[in-house]
Formats: sequence, structure tokens, C-alpha cells
Amino acid sequence: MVPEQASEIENTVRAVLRDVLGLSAERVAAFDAETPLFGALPELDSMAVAGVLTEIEDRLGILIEDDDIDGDTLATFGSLTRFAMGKAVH
Amino acid sequence: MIDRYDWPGGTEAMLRFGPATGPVVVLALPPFEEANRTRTLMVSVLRQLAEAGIGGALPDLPGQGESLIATEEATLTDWRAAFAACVATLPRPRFSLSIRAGALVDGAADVQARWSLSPQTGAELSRELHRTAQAAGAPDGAGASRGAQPGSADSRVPAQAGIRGQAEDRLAEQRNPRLLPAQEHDMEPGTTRPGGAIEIAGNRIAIGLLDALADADIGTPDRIVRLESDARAADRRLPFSPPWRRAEPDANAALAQALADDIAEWVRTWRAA
Repeated sequence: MVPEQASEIENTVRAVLRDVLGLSAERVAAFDAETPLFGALPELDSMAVAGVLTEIEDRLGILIEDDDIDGDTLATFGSLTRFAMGKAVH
Repeated sequence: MIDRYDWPGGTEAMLRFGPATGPVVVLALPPFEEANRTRTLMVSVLRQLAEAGIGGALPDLPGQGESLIATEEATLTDWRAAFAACVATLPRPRFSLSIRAGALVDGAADVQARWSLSPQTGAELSRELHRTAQAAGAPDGAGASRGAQPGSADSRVPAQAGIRGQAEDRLAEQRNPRLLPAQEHDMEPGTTRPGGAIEIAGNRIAIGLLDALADADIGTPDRIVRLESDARAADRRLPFSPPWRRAEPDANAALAQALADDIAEWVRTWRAA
């Protein structure tokens, strides 16, 4: 993957988290690969999980099979971004 | 003003805005939780349209809002019939507005034209409901405390089976009623429709409705407005983030103003045509 594409995907994931979880742009800008999401953000309830996945699909033009999602996918910002990148290159 | 309208299945409330004569727009909100997330915004839009001389109506649909009908008794057929009946009580010229899956409801109404904000197809709605249920029911999912059994290998079954709505899955559910949380309290004869219901994000939704939604079509709205993060075909794209994704969306006066302006201009265009 070219660096520009990786950066675009990371920015898209940040924007989705901002829009779905109602976080400030400053807060999501400070997320790094180790920032915990699932279990650490009370905003990330079941509807928000569905919203995050669907918005990532729509904005990146990818398809996410629900069977691909497991407990680790949304564990950290890094795991979610890697997952999105893996889908985008297929 | 709170008014009421009759439809073949009963009577429901409707909010009325603006003048009693002249053009009127009738709004279909999305069902379930997204209705809560979009109502304040769209009521603000209807108020601004009223100030511009365009009447508005926001009907409660059977099993939604303040309706006395239980959510799990709601059907797509009834929603469409009730919306059409509401429209028929209003003077012409009439236009329908919808937001998200509200576009599944207004297609059968006798209106001059349809306007839609980010219409969501039945298949898309079904997929999101499925995802929400799955996230709530997954062993270490966010909503695991709500009725699911953490650690159980079967805990994802009800959500998937319920929403897929396949006959064989329904049969499996009947063999394992404990797996369907919404049924535990509703086993009395006559209180549930055949096939039962499933709780998703606080709404008990009939499996028959989920099946109907999965195949439901939005038809062809005459004007589609989307938000800029949504790349699908649109007549106009507005630079805002989607309020229906937020559990507690901010009051967005600028978005309400932009939508009201777009709708007012669109109604004027149709009236001049």
C-alpha cells in the first residue's frame, strides 16, 4: 500500500470515530495505534459499533463481512485501522 | 400543534406546523432509534419551513413515537398505509420528506413529489440492525450485559438467526426459545406475531418486520440530498456530519437551516412547474 493511501484510510477511520462517537477533532487527532477503543470508550455501544463499521464501509468503498469482525478488531485504533487497510487492498 | 389522523388500523398523533393552507410537507422519520436521533433536527426544519409559509406535518407511525401500538406489533405495510392515510387528510399541494429509512415509508403516498435526506434502503437498514444485534450479543460485545450470555458459544445465534429471518433459522429459534431474549416475556398466546420478536438497541422488533425491511425498496425520490461523507449519487451534498450516527447529536442549527432552505426552494420549483 502506498503511504498516501494508508494515510487516507487512517484519516477516514479518525473521522468516522469523531462522527459516530461524538469525539472532538482534537481528541481523535491524538489517537495512536495503541489507543484503546472497545471497552475504553463508553460511547462505543452496539449501535455505535454498527455505525463505525458501516461508515468505514461507505467512506472507503469496501465491504466488511460480519464474520471478519472479532473482539480484537475494535480493540485499539491501530487494530481497527489495520483491519480497514486489509479490506481496502483486497 | 398536536393533531390526530385516522388510518385503517386506528388513530395516531401528528404534529402540525405552519399555515393550514398552501403547500404542505409531510415527514417520514426513520424507524427505531434513528427517529430519536433525527426528530429534533427535523422538527427544527419544519419550524423554519413554517416561517417560510410552508405547512408541515410529522405523523407518528403505528408502533413508533407516541403510538399506543407496541413496537413489536409494527409492520412495514401498516407504516406505509398510515403515512398515506395521513397525507390524504391534508390539502394539496402535498410533498413528502424523508430521512434515512423513512424513505421506505412515503413511496405509496399521494404526493406531488418526494424529497429525501440520505435515503437508506431496506437492505442497508436490515444489515445495520443485524450488526447492532450481533455487537450486542457477541460474547465480549459492548452490549453483552443486555440479555446475552457472555462466554456462551451460542450467544451470537439469536441475533443472526432473527435478522436473517430464514425459515430454518426460525425453526431453530423455536427449538431454543431461551436464545431469543425478547420472547422470554412474550410467550402468552396472542401477544406476539408468529415468528416472535427480537430486541435491538432497546426496540423489540418483529422478525416479520425485519424480513419485510430486508426486501423493502425506497423507490425513486425526486430529490436526494446527502452529507459530504456519503459519496453515493445525490442532487446535492451538504458539508455536515451525520447526526443519526450520534447517540446524542448536537443541536445543529446550520444543518437545519441548510435543509430548510433546500426544501423551500425545491417546493417552490415544483409549484412553479
